[in-house]
Amino acid sequence: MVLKQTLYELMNGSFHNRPIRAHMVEEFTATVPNITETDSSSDLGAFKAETVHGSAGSFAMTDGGLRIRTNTGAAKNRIGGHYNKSFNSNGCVYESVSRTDMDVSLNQGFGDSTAASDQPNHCVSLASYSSWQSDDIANFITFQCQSSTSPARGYTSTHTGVRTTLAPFHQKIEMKGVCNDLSINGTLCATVGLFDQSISSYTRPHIQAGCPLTPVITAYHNYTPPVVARNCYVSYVECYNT
Amino acid sequence: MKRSLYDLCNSPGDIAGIRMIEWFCGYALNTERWSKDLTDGNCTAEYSDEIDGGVALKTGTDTNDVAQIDQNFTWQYNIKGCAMIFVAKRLASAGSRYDIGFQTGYPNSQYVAHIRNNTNDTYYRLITSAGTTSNATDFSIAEDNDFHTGKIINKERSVLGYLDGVLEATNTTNIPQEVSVAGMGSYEPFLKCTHNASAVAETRVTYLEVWET
Repeated sequence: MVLKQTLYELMNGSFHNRPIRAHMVEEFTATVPNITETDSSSDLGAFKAETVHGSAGSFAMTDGGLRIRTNTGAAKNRIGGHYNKSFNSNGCVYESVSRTDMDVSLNQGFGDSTAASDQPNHCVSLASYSSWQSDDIANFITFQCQSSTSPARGYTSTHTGVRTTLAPFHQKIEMKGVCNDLSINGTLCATVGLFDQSISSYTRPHIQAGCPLTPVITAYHNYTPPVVARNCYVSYVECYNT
Repeated sequence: MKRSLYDLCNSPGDIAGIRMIEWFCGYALNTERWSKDLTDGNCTAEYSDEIDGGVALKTGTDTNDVAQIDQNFTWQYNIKGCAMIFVAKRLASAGSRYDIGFQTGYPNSQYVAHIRNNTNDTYYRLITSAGTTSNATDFSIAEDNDFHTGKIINKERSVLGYLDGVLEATNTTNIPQEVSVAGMGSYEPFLKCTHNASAVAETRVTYLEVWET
């Protein structure tokens, strides 16, 4: 019984490289979600459930992974690392496999406050699928970054041109020192936060250097008036500092 | 998926032994996997709210406080054939140290193999013990407060200690493998933060991989 290679070597290349840093993998495969819905010292779970808007949100395991169900109406339901912010905005990656239902937006990536409805600093993709909008404009994935501090305070949303569907998709957010990238199904489709040397400033809102972040996955029911609760599904999440 | 993790980590035909991966990242430490062995209520073992915080093993200020986690009463690893990789650092504090490796029981196991990073030592060390006699071999790396990758390999007649991929120490005497004690059982991994001064000691661990070879 010989282990030919360790997972450490496969992920890090070599022991001589910089020691591996914060890294998490969650495959959402079990009979119950690997999340906690309370907040006590005896809690377990990779994620903390945060029902941030409305009270009827729920979490359950399904054939498609973790189901995040919103309340009816304009309501948000969210999971995240809560107060544990292990990831570095200067260099971290968020990857997932997920899908959305109709009339709900699946917002996922990194944020600095999972409990707040609007996180001061965040870098997320928004995959919204609306059946009711006649112009169909909502049915594209956008990439949004927000900073609460100078020199790039504010937020921006970049239209990727990639259509949202009801099929599962893979996404990868790469936060770097100079920009943040979003790839969908293996194709780079948006970049924000590029540094413009000519004016020595960021051209787009960019999360402050070294801001501690935690993974955040939000299901946002964007259809009013209330009719029925809506679902998002997440079957894989991997985050790591680079 | 083109290849399974099993294929990547093993040769064709291998029957892999037991193995565990712990990321120490997320909302809360999995206490169904880890037992907390804390001297008192001032010692903690929780995930840290910091970049690369990992699990923070933190003592109180009483001399000889211990903040430890281990797989208490679950000794699954063969003393003569198992290995460990960890990534850890010790925060600067007088008299603080970490010991990370294998033990056969808790508390005060007499059969251990672990790496020590201690402010009171000059270098990192590989420590093994076979009952009442122990063996401490200095690495060439001075004790510090940086993240390093430690690796321990337990063989039939030796214990090897690595730091950042370099073999730094080999113990062939005073190792648990050389004795046979009724009820000694097998190894469990442990991560321990201690201090011998009246100050808080803290160790961060961001990765652990343990397997039978």
